[in-house]
Amino acid sequence: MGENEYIINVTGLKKAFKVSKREEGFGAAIKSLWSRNHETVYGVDGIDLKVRRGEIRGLIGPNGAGKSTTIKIMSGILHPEEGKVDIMGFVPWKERQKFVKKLGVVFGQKSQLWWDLPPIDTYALNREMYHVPRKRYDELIDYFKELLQIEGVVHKPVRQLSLGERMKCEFVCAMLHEPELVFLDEPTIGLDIISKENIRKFIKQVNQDLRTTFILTTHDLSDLENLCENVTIINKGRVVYDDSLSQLNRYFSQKKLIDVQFQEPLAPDMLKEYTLLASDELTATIELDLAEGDLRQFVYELLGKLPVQDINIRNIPIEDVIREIYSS
Amino acid sequence: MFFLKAVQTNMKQFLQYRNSFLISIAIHPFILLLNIFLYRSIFAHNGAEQIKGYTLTEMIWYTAGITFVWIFIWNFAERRISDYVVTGDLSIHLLKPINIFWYELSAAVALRMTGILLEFVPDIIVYSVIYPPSFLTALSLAKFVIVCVLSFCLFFLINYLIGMTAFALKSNSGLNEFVYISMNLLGGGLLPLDFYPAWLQRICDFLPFKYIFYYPIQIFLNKESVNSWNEWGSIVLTQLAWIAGGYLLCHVLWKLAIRKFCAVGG
Repeated sequence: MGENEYIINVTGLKKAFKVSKREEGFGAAIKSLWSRNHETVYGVDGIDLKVRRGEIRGLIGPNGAGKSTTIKIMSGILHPEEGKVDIMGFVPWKERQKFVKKLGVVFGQKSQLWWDLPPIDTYALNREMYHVPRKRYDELIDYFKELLQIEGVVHKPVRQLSLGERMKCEFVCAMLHEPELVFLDEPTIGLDIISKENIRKFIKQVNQDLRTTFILTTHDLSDLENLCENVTIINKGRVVYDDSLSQLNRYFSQKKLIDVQFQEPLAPDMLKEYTLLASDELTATIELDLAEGDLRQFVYELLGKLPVQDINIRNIPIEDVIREIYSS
Repeated sequence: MFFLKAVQTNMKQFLQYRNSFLISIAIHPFILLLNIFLYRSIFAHNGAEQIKGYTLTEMIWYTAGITFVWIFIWNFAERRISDYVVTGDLSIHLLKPINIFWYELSAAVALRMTGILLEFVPDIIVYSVIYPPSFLTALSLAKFVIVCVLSFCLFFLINYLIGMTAFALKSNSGLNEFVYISMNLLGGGLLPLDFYPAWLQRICDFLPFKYIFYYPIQIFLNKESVNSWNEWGSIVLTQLAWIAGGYLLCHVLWKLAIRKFCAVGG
């Protein structure tokens, strides 16, 4: 594979923004007419990112972490201050018009379809826009119709579609020119569970059939768990985690959660030596730091001391891990 | 070809709103009637055959000409572009392999083709029944249509330039209003420029606006001052010169604006 192994190769990316600072109040609003205080803030502060061809990569981070800025730079509509970007052999912002021909984008919050027309009209326009050969276009439309079960839907005006139906159609719109790389920005936001599953199935299938690389930003962790092998977490303009999702579970594997159920109600002070995350008379969730104690020994002692009916040992849930990473 | 497909798609879209076009068919004859009454009483009051070189028929049809020119030129490119800039939707358009100028032009062309079909054609028939245009010939109508197409281009460029000011101003509705009023007053979109004092007419000579309203309507009225091929040709050439200048300005400013937009982010 060599050079071509990575479809995205970003190193040392930096982007600064001028933020104007203004005091509260009307006087300050007047004053800002002639004098403004600017502050330079690094929205992206040295990001490295490598993505292999055919990957579905999760890109997550709290609001304002620098995700969108990174995506904007990678899609060619923002120039960085520093850093090297090589995507599909392009420097995106230098050859934007050529570059975007190979790029697909789906926004969960913005529509690319013509609101008053059936999706099929937007598709026909996109066929001209991207110079898709007629025959290939027909094949793809049939393939997507079948895969997403939108036979009748593409002929109804967009304004009459449900959000779930519309998102399916948005995907087709972004895929018709068979882009090598697709950015998905919160593609499942606002969808019900079944629609979410349909969209995920579709992404997986297209990823297999067409070898499309997807970059997925989301706040829905079940998207990640279902789709992504690898996940990159960005916080405060830097990459704070870049590895497989299963590895993320082990990020805090030195901590275990132990759910215990008791045979009979306990007096509260019987549990006071443990780190409790939750407890009532009959149940308790205990956190154990493996650096401080051995799991086997801990459980052995617990069983000896307390009237345990049931016990369950688990890892810290991924939500908690991510919350921990976001807030650190 | 993408441009034609975009025109076609836009027309489909605008035809969804055919009711608003039908409303103008219903309203336009009333505007004509109003002007008939207005100018009849003005001419009767003065007891004159002509006012500033215009007969009663010409005066009434001058106002009809204003309506027709508007049907040929009207578009809202300035609002569309301002919205792209202010809402950030510009980014989405930049992610497509299209030239936004031509994309917007396709929308404006489609809008006007729909307008010509649903407004101009019925209007000119109804107007002719109400007040027959004795001056009109097939040739003068054809000449009028051609200069109107160029008026459309000129007006589109002005709108596009106003739209682009959103990059710097964010809110440009004040400027927009100012340009529209100037265009109407100094371009002959309210009254023939012949009614103005010489010094004001001199100012109008340096502006493109009279090539949008005044001259096309003169051609429509088949006025002697413009009915030679020479005169018509020089009007067309002047329009083309303004269009070339406007296009160049749009092109350069757009490049600068996009460069800045990509540097600081939307």
